[in-house]
Amino acid sequence: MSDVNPLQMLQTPGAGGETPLEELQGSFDPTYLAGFFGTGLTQYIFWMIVCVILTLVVVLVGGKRLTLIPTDKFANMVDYGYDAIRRNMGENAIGEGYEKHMPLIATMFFFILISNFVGLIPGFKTPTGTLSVTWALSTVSFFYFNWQGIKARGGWGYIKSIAPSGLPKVMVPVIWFFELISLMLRWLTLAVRLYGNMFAGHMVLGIFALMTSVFIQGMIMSGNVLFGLPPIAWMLFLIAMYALECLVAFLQAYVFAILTSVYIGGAISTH
Amino acid sequence: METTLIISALKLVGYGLGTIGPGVGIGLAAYGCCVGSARQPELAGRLFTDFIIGAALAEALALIGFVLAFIL
Repeated sequence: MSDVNPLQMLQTPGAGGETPLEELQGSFDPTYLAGFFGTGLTQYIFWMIVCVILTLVVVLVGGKRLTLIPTDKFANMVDYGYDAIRRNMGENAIGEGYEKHMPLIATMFFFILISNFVGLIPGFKTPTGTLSVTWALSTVSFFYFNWQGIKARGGWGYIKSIAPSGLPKVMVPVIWFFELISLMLRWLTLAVRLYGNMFAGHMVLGIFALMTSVFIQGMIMSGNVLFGLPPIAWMLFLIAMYALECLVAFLQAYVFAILTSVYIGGAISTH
Repeated sequence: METTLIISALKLVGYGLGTIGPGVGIGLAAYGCCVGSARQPELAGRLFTDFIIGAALAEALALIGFVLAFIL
């Protein structure tokens, strides 16, 4: 049995009638865990509910244990996280009057952070790995900053403020139109950035794990010890990618929150 | 069969081409942010915010390519 080709095994159907690659792709499709009234609860939405509860628990417990002189490590950690958001996103990105917007931004940051990290635990799904959840989050953010802009400047004032001031009169309609497209694209890009990063990262992790297992299977089936070397390399790649994914999980939550606050800041700034 | 294969391959090639520009753009933005905050460390927070905005604007093109590769 020396003609075992591990790469060929990726293409051959397994017990379920699917090749391992198809099986991996299929595990990313939303499937109904429970259905009622023509709709259903997919695994992503189930984990989203878990993450919402987890976020509530973390924040409420952290807030409850808060004292003037910090002694509790957990409460201190949550406090530090909130303080960092407040400084970086509130004071730097929004500027004056940022306290009003902190609840939304902090909620979004903690929810996305916990969602991204929950997905990194094997066997769990990341809620932000599906477009519907990120789309909902970006819709909340998009409508919120437009509403705040309209509240700060009035309807007509906000529409005029889409084009930057100080342009020659002739150029204003053209620039306004381009700025409007760019404004609308924020809606799309906020959603797709988070989804793309999470989905692609988990797909890469899945493929590396699949390669490891396929090569180990090849070693067992052929009895050739040389086939034992590639899985070590794949495993090391997998660990390196996992570390990178931990960074990406934090970074995407940070980027989502800071972009939301930058958009709010741009919409409400009065100069 | 052959045509659908070519179309899906071309989608991937198109997305790959679409990532070149944003990649260069984000690289330049990160370079500017690093150099700027090395010269004036007290401005690092402000520069990082600006870097994120610039990167978001440049990345929009890559994300549009990503979406188009899916829906076309």
